[in-house]
Amino acid sequence: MKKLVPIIALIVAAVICVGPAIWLPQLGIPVAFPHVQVAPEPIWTKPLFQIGSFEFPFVNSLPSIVLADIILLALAIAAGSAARKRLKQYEANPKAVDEEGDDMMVPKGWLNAFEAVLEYFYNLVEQIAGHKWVSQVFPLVATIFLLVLVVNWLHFVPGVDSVGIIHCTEPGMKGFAVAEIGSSGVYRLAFNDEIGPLGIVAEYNEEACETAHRSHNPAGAEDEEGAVQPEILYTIAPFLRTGSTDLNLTLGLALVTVVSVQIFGFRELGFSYFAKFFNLPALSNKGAWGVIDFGVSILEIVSELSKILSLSLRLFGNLFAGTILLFVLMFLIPIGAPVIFFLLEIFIGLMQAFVFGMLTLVYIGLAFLGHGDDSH
Amino acid sequence: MNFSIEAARAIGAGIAIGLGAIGPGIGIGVLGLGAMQAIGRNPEAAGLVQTNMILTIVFAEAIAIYALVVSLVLVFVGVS
Repeated sequence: MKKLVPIIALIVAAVICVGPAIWLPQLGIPVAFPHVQVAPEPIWTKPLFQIGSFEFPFVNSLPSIVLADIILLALAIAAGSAARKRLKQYEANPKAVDEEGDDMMVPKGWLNAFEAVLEYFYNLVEQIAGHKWVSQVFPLVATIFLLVLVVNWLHFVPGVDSVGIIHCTEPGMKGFAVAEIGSSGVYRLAFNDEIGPLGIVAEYNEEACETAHRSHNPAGAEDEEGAVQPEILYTIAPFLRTGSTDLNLTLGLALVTVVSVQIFGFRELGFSYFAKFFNLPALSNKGAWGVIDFGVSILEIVSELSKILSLSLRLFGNLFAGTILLFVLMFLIPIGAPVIFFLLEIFIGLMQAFVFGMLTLVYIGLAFLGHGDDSH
Repeated sequence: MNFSIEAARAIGAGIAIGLGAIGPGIGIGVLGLGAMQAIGRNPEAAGLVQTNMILTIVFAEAIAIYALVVSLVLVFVGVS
């Protein structure tokens, strides 16, 4: 009997991995679909708000980021209230034990996981930024890590990137035919007549699409005999899109990081921090040779600006490439293989979140050091 | 010139990621070499070496990711 357990587990795992790929298409339910667009798709026809003539559309990465925020806040509040509860019990009776016979100061469950992560980061910050600044640098670093982690891992939630609004494509772009599933009002894109993402048709207005396509392709409209009807193609705008595959989020985080690095550097070193960028002391102390030092310090400005670019593109590129990798793999080998790559993507999501937080910390640590010989 | 924009973009994307992957490939190889030698000399430090190796590999990999971004933009961002 004991020998059977691993075999049964293997069969269950195989059914879980392989099953959906076989029976979902049979039921007409899509598995996956490579909808790839670099810019996030607007999912509301009206702009969110408007400043002058500049419109801010309601894009699909926004609800995803808000969802990540809510998840993170809920986890943090749960851990915080658990900690407070145990502390109160401890203060009431320092010798109190819980049902497992542990001291009240011993963290349990979620609280323990949170404490482990935060303690690791706290020690890291104390090591690199120094004891003086740890209480101010730590919240920034830990928040960036946790937020990026939750945002990255949100793309393993089923429905993200695959359920959305089906609308006709812009002329000249790639698109697919559309089919209704039963008479449910839910449609899917038909790709190879086999699989495609689920969606609700928002603008199922064939006439409008046709006019748009015809105006783009007047040659088709001119042909009166055997009229070449312009083919109407549809594409999907998912309701939720992984936040980090939108350059706006990663660029925003990078800007926050770089600006706060300057602020921390200025607060630690005062005005001598700017000698890093405009090395005037070298100009006056070293005479003619100081000109070289001054030129080098100007280059520091460029290196500071390139931090914004490298931070934002690293996160965006990794996550966007990961999304495309999963899409493509679902089509090449829909059975089994994606599971392995999901595992890889979980690791990459964690790694990139850690690297982003870590780099924020390292940049702040570097800003504290001051510039070469001016620092003493 | 009978050379379509579509073809030029496909070729450009291929060249971008192909050439862009050479450097990081060599870099990750060197990193792996260094880490393996370090573990060979001092097996007790394997955990520490491994963590730092992965962190550094991520930096090397980022260069390839920049090339990948360029080629993805070439392929997927339409010119209209």
